[in-house]
Formats: sequence, C-alpha cells, structure tokens
Amino acid sequence: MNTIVVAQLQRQFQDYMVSLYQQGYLDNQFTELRKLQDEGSPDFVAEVVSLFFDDCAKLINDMSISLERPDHVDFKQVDSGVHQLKGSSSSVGARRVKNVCIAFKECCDVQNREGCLRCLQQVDYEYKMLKTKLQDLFNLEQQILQAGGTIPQVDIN
Amino acid sequence: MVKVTKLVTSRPIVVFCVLGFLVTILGCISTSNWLTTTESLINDVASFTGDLRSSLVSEFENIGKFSYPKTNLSTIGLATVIDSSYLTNNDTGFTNIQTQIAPLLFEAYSTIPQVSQVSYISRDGFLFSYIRADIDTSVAVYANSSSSSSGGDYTWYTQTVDQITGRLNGNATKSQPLDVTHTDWFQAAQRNNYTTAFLGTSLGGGDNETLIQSAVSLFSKKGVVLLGFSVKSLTDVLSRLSLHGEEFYMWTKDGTVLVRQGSLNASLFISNGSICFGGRESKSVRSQCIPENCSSSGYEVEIKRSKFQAFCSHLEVSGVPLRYTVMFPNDGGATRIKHQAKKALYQFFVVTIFVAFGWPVWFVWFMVRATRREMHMRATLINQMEATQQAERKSMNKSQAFARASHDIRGSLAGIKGLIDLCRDNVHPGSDLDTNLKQMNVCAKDLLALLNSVLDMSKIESGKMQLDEEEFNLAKLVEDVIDFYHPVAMKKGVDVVLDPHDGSIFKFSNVRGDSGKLKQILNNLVSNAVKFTVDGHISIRAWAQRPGSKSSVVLASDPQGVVSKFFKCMFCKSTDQTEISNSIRNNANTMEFVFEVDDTGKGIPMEMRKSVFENYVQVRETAQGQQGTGLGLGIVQSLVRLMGGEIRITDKAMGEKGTCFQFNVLLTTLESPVSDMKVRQDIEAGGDHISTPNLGLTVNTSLGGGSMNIRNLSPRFNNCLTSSPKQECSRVVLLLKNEERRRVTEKHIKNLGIKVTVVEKWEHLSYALERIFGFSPQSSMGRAECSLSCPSARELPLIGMDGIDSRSQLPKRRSNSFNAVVLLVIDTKTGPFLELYNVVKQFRRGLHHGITCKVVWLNESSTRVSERGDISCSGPLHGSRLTEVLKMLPEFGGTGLKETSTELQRESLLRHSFVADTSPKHKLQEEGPSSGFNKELGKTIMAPTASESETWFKSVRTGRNPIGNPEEEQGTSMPSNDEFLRGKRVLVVDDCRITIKVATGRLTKMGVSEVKPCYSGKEAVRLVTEWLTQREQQGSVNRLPFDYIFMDCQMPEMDGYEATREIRKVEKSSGAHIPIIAVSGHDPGSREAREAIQAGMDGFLEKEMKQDQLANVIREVESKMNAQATL
Repeated sequence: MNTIVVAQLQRQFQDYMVSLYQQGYLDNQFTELRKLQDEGSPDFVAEVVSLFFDDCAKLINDMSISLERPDHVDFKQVDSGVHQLKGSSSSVGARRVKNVCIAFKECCDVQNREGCLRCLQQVDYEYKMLKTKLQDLFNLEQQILQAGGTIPQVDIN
Repeated sequence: MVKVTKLVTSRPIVVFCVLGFLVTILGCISTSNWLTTTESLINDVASFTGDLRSSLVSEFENIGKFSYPKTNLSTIGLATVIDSSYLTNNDTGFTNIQTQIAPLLFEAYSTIPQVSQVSYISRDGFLFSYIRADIDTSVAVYANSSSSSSGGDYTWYTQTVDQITGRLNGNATKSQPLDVTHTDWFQAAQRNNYTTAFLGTSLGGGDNETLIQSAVSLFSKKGVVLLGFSVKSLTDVLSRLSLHGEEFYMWTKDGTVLVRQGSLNASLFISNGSICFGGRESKSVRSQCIPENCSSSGYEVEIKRSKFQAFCSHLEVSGVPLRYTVMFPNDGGATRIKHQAKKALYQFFVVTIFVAFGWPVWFVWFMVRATRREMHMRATLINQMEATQQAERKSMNKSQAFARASHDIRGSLAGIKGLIDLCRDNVHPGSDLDTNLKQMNVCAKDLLALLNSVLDMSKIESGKMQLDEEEFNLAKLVEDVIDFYHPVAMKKGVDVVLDPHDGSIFKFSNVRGDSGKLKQILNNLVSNAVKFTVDGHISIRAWAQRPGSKSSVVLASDPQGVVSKFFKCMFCKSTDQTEISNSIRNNANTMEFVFEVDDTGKGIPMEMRKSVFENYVQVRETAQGQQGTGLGLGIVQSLVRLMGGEIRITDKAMGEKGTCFQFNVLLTTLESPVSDMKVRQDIEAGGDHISTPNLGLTVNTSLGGGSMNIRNLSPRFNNCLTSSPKQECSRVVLLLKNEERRRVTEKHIKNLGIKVTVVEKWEHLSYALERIFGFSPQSSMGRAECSLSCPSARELPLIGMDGIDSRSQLPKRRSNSFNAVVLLVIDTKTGPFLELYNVVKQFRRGLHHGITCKVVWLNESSTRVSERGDISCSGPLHGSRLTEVLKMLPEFGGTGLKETSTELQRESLLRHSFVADTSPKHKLQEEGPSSGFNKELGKTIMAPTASESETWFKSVRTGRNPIGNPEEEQGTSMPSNDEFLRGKRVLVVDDCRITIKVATGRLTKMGVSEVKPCYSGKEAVRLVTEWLTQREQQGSVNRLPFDYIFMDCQMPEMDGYEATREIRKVEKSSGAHIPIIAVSGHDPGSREAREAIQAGMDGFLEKEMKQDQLANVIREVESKMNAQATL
C-alpha cells in the first residue's frame, strides 16, 4: 500500500515539476540547483529559495517605497534593486520573475514611473505565485519523504 | 529578324514607299533595257523587210523583162521567114497560105516556148492560125475567103490539128469571124514600124482567153504575123512568187486588171491608169487611188481599215506596158514587231506595277501579322507567368498559414496533454478512467508527433527552415542515436550496429553543423529501419571523405551526367544551388560525411524507390499495420538537401534483404579540436601505431588508408608505446551473438592492430580458448599461429590472418617487458551465464602466470559480474564503449593487474555501467594515489583528465537516454567534475545572498573545501589585504589565501571592477596573483565582460555558473597562469 502511495506521490511530483517548467515558472537553473542538493545539504534548495523570497519581499518593499512619491523618484535605487532581483531570480531559476525584471529594468532605464509601478506589481504577483507553487512542491517532497520514498529525478525535456 | 519586324511594324507606310520605289526603279531599268533591245530588233527587221521588198520588186521586173522579151523577136523572125517565102511565091491566095505559110506557122507554134497562138492574117482577110486550145490539143482557125471579096460570106473555120504534123484533121466547124483587118492593132501594125503589141483575146479555140499578142506586119505589107502568149502563164509565174500577206495587183493601161492577188477583198477600179480602191460611185466609202509615182517610197493607203504601204511600178511584158502595185500590210514585219513589243511592254509595266505595289504590301502585311502574333504570344506568356507567380505566392501563403495554424494546434494539444495529466492526478490509478486517460495521453502524443512532422514540412516548404550551426561531436551523435534505438530493436531481436567503416568518422568527429537536424535525419532512418526489420540486424555505417572526391551519392543524384552539366554551364543562373554547394565543397575545412543505414527488413520495391522521398507517400505493402503520415522521408530528404547533400536508396547485392539508405552531408570540421574527446578517438583510430612521444605529430598508418593527426596523447600512452619496443601482443576474444556485430567489431579491432579471435557459439568457447592458449601462452607467435591454423576454419575463420597481420604491423611490440592481456568479450545472451563463467574460470586457472585475463560481460547485471571481479557492459558494444573496453589492453594504456595506473583506475571507479574490479587491493590503491597524482602531475593534467571522464560520462549517460538537448547532457555530467576543485579555497563576492548560496553549493559539489562568502567589494578587498599582510608577517609564501575569487560585477558601494583593481594594487607589493573570475548577468563577449578583463580579472562567467562553463573558465585561467609562470 505504501509503495503505491509513494509511486502516486512521485508521479504527482514529477508532473507538477513538469507543469512548473512548462508554464515557465522555472528554468534549468532550478534543476541545477536541485542537483546541488545532496546528503550533505538536504535542504539546500529550500534554503536558497526561502532566501530568495525574503530578498524579494525586502527588495520589492524598498522599491515600492522608492516609487511611491510621484514627483521625485530615485530611479538609481530602484535600478539597483531590480538588478539584484534579476540576479537572484536567475540564480534560483525563477524564470517568470526574471523576465519581468528584464522589462522592469528597461522601464527604469527610461525612467518610466508608470511602467515601473506596473512591473513592480507584476513582480510582486509573480514571486508570490512562485512562492505558493514552490511551497506546494516542497510539501509534496516532504510527503514523499515521509512515506518513505525518494525524490524522483525529473527530466525536463 | 525581330528588328526588321519591329521596323516594318512601326512605320509600315514608309517601308512600303521605300520598297515600292526600289521595285519601280528596277522596273524602269529593265524597261529601258527592253526598249532599246526592241528598237534594235525592229530596225533589223525593218531593214530585212526592206530587202525583201526590193528583191520582190526586182523579181517582178525580172519576170517581166526576161521572160517575154523574145516574143517580139520571135514574131519578127517569123515575119521575116514568111516574108521571104512570100516573096518567092507571089500567090497570095488561101491555098498559098495553107501550103506555104501554114507549115512555117506550125513550126513556130511548136518551137517557140509558151506560145499559145501563132497566126497569119493577110491583108485580104485570109487567116490561118494555130491556137493551143488545151494542153494537148491544138486547133487551127482559118478563113479561106477574103473579107472583102464577096460580101457576107466571110467565115472562119476551126479545125483540130494533129499535134505532131500540123495537118488539119477532124471536122472543120464554123466559128464567129472577126473583122481582123480593121482592128486597131492590124492597122497599127500595117502603119508604123511594122510591129505592135497589145493585149487581146485569142482568135479562136475553146475559151477566148486573154493573150499578150505581138503583131508584126510583113515587109510587103501583105499580111500580119501574130503571136500570142497566154497572160495566164504570166500570172501563174507571178502567183508562184511567195507573198507574205502582201497584196499584188497588175493592170494594163486601159484598165484591165490582169493579176489580183491577196487576201483583200475590196472592190477596186482603175481610173486614169492608176488603181483605186473603194466603190466607184458610192460616196459612203471614199475611194483611194494610188498615184503613179509611188515606186520609190511606199504610199500609205488605208483600205478597209487596214493600212497598207503601196509600191507601184511599170512593167513591159512583150512590148505591152503593164502597171502593177505591191501593197505591204502595215501590220506586218517591223511594224508588227513594234506593236507586239509595245504590247509586251505594257504587260511588263502592268506586272512591274503590280509587283512594285503588291509585293511591299504583302511584305508589310506579313510582317505586321507576324508581329501581332508575337505580341499576342508575349502577352499570353506574361499572363501565364503572372498566374504562375500568383499560384506560387498562394502556395507559399498557404504553407505559411498552415505553419501558423499547426503551431496553434500544437499549443492546444499541449493544453490537452496538460489537462489529461491533471485529470490523471485526480483519478485512482488503475481504474478504467486512468487507463483511458493514459491512452488519451498516448494519442495526444502521437498527434503531436504527427503535427510536428507536418509543421516541419510546412516550415521547409515556406523556406523558413534554417540550419542551426553549432559545434558538436559527430561520432557521439551517431552513437547516441544508435543507443537510443538499440533497446527497442533488441526487444524485436534485431541488433543495431555502428560500423565505423574506416574509422574516419572518429578522425573528424568534431564538426560544426546542425546537430539537431542531423539527428532528426538519423533518427528517422534508424527508426524506420527498426520499424520494418523483423529479424537480422541494422548497421549504420559512417565515414568521412573529401567533398567531391568520389561522392557516389552526389553522382547518383545527377543522372543526366554530361548533358545536365552542359545545360548547367549554359544556364548559369539556374545553378545557384549547385554553386552554393560547390562553394561549400571548396571550403578547405568542409568534409563530406556519408552515412548508410542498412537493414535486413522487407525492403522497398524498385519502382517505389523514387517516390518514397515524396511527401505523403508510403509503400503500401510494407506500411500495413504501421502508422505514419508518409512525411518522414520527405522531410529527411529536404533536411539532407538543406545540408548540402543528397539521399538515395542504394542497391543491395542480389539475394540480400532489406534497404540501404545512403546520404551525405557537408559539415565543417574544426581545425583545432578543443575537446579531449579527440584524444580518445585518435587513440582509438590510430594510436596504436604511434612510436614517438611528440605531441601533435602525424603518423602514417597502413590501415585506414590515411594519415591521422594525433594530438595531446596521454603521457601514459606514449610511455607505454615508446618505452617498450618489444612486448607481447594482446588478444581479444569475441563471443557475440549477432553476426553483423561480430564482423564489424572484429574488423574495427583488427584495424587497430589487435589480434582478434571470433567465436560464434558459446559451446565453442572453451575449445577455442584451448586452441589458442593451450600451449604456453608465452610461446612465440609462430607457434601460436601454427596451433591456430589447425582448428576448423568455420569456427575460427580469421585467426591465421590475424597472426600475419599483427606480426607485420606490430613487429616491435613482442616482448616480455609487460605481459600480454587476453580480453574476453562475452555476450551473455549467447549462452547460459554460469556455464560461460565456468569456461572462463577454467581458462583463467589454466593460464600461465604472467598473462592477464580480463573479461567483459555484455548484457549482464553489474552486480552479478562484479561479484566475480569482472567488468560488465550494458548497451551495445561499439563506439565509445568499445573504445573503453579496448583501453584495458596494454597497447592502449590499459593496466595489467600488476601495474596500476592511478589515472585509469580512478576513471574506472567513475564508471557507472562498468564496474571495475572491486577487489580490496584495488580499492586500497585507489584512494591514496588520486591526491598524490594531482600533486605529481600538476594541474595541467587535471583538466584533460576531468574532461575526459566527463565525456565518458556523457556517453554513458546518453547511452541510457541519448535523446536530450546538449545542455541537459552537460548538466548531467556533474559528477565528473566532483573532484575538479578538490581542496581548493574560494572566495565568493556577491551582494546577493542567494547567488552566494548557489555558488557555494555548486563549488562544494565540485570538491572545494572552503567557500568564503563575502557580501561586498569592500569586504573582499579588506579580506585579501588582511591575508596578504598576514602572509608577509608569517613568511609563508607558497600558499595563496584563496585559489580563486568569484567576483560579482555590479554591487553597491564598491563594484566588482573597482574591487578587483584594489586587490590587484594590494597584490603588487607581495607579487602574488589571485585569479579573479568575474560573475555577471551579462553575456560573455559583452561590454561588461571586456570591462571585467580590463579591470584585471582573469575570467568571465555567467551568473548561472553552469558547471561546465565554470570548469572551462577555470581551465582557461589555469592555463593562462601556467603560461605566465613558465615565462
């Protein structure tokens, strides 16, 4: 019985992963990240990801403050924030966030406040979305581990 | 011609005029010529006619003058004779006349020619005359009484005369008397000159015909002698003259018309001695008289509307004056010619005019019509071309629309698949719904595959397919494809074999081209082969050759041969394609790679061979039960052509089953292969024959036919070859199930110069082993050979040859410096494993010590094999796996049991599918040397080693899962880099915690012992300075604080560039140089990357820090530093 549950969970996990890739939430960098996780650092991915989300929250907060006042916006600050966000998102493999960051950066470069605000909202949405998705994923992982199974390797092709 | 037509069409009237003018001029010239000719002709004819006329006139004169002058003389003569006789005889009575004069008369009558009447008339009226009544009858007319005697009884008698004697005979008949003595002429003759001539009727006879008579009076004036000549005879003579239409009239002075000859039927009369035509009284017709003096020049006269030229003259015949006129019709002779010439001239004029106007008109008309027709045709052609273009455009648009549409469909399909997956998650596994969903998934997948092929097709059709050039390893690609299909085929009992042919594919394995499309082509062909082959094998041959050398495929695609070449020359524009491919061919680095996929399936019927490459065509007989759109080969052909090649089905030998697809592609080989895979292939291909340790040397081999460029040989390998000029040969024993694989593998190993023994059945294994090694294995080759030549040829067919081969090729290698290795490669599918194992065990036991026996089991689980200390190999034995197996031989740097190469041992540990000897002895040897090895050989050796094992792993991994993008493959090669940075200490500078975290994870994975995170440039500078000062104080020079620094470029406060500059400044004092590698979100090659290098950084890495990129960068940095160090 247990094995069946595990198998089902594993398959669910696999499919979920695939869907995340297909929907463009994640890219290969995430796979790389997962490969780095081994016995020595069992929670490596989770750690990195949580760090990322913390960063995101902080940076987005900073940027929204910067963009709050319409008359005088510190675009430089926003730009550095966006750059950081872009770097960290590409490190994690959060593809959608990264893509929004690229657009965001363009808006920053031309000092388009409206565009920046729009992008900010988008980034906020995307990272939260990703957060819930990854939360689900980690929950699944936990379930599999609790059921005594191993986390399957997922081939993204 | 076209110009003429154009000219004519543009100015028809001008051309018409010009032509008409020309023709007129021509006509005029010829007319004048004609006229002069006619003129001279007329003159000639006129003179001729004149001559003729004058001769005619003279002829008349002659007749007049010469025919009748003697009549007078005769008359005079007769008169004289009668006179004399009359003188002698005075009697003048009739009797006297009859007796004396009559005979004289008769004499004259008979002798004088043409005389028709001879008479004597006395003064008294006595008369005697002979008259020619007819041609043969003559009569005599006489009067025997005087006219003056007794009044009224003067009678004349006519009596016939005997022609000969002149005597009267017959009855005398009375005839009308004529008062002769009182006639004018009698009087005239009596009166003057005794002689006179006149024209009168004859005295008697039948018909009183007109005679020209001449009367001469006797001297005594007693009588008159009268001779008469017939006028008729004269006119007969005249008539006998040929008259060419001339009119001839002759008349006497008193108006008697003697001769009237001619066709003219006009009434005429004589008035006043001249002849007149026309009615005498009638006023209607004016009479025309010809005057007398018309002899010299002709007198124009018009009679009955015809003009005549009249000539008249006098003529005296026998003293009778006659007049005559000759009239020449005006329409004869020169005049007629003149007329005719004139008429002909008119005709000529008419014709000329007709031609002068008609011909240009016709010409212009013809030209205009021709032009019109041509214009029409051109217009039609243009219309047609437009239509064609439109059709092409439409087709193109259709293809594009189709491509777009299928793209959308693909999107929807992906959605469906995703939904199916979602549904399956919510379904209890194993239920009906689940199975249905599964099937739906399969269907959707099929649909997607189908759509992909259609999409490819439409892409190609709309010309959007482009080659995606990248560097890749061709040998690996081919092997990957085969490995992918191998399990599927093996399930059907079909083996898929890679036949390296002459090994050239390994020599030029690093190429630049579209690997994806090449893979697609091979996949399609191999999958087809697998699909249609039920038993037997599928072999994939690949070799490289110089483009255009003897490319059979290209030749075959050009069946027109010389003719088509000729046309290609003629129409250079249409040969763009060929030119392009030629230019590709001419590129020095371009190689032509020929592939053959040869199966033993059903085969394709001859007549279908051409059409299988057309879209939507499937061979019906074979396609039954097999699905597909029939697009596959069409796409394959398009792709092959896209890559500058051609595909065809080659003919197999008679009796051989199956199909052989052959295609060639043109790919650019890389001049300087970076990858270390090359080394592997070089060793494999020709490394056997290396005898010098120099790197990059060219070695000629007797096998393979060409020179091979060997680079970067591993030192171990060179060492092995050079240090031991005399060594024992190794031997490989193959026990393989599939015949084709046996053949190919044997050939390949033989090409490398290794002796091979092939065993077909497992039962023969022990026998064969005994045969080969039954004697002392260290015995000389000759003995072994001798023993080998004995067994039955079928089982060991090539052994004898092997011996010769290896002896000739490897003469130096026979020595005892290291021991030979016997490598048994056994396919466990050939027989029961345990039995086989026993055979091997026995063989091992029986081996002379000093000979190593290694066993590679194919298709056997690794655990079972490794328990026994052997090696197992899963997957087909070819390509890199075969190379790996052969590397265990000492010839290729493999280790015997006594020698342990740390490098290779370590490598063998990394093998996943190969399980190296796990004997404790090996394990013990493994750990220690690996680190020692690093230190000894230095880092330069490290890199290739790592990459070598990396590529090895790639191939092993892809053996299981060959179809995957290269990126992913590279990702899977992680474990190989595990030891890459072993023991290194690294400083990671980044303001982003996440990046540091990730980098830390990655580097740790690669064996880095210490990763120091650092969150700002300033801090990094501080750390480095701190450490450097420490070092100076301690005096420990050797160790750097960090082996590498990974520096983020963009950071707040102090960015990477500035930090690097600072560090470099600090370093200067101590003379150290820590490699700093820039990490940035930008591309390598961008402005930032250059800036980084300018700032003093040593390498550049993308933010993702992919494992292989990392390894590459570090390798680069290392080599740079080494270069500096040696300098």
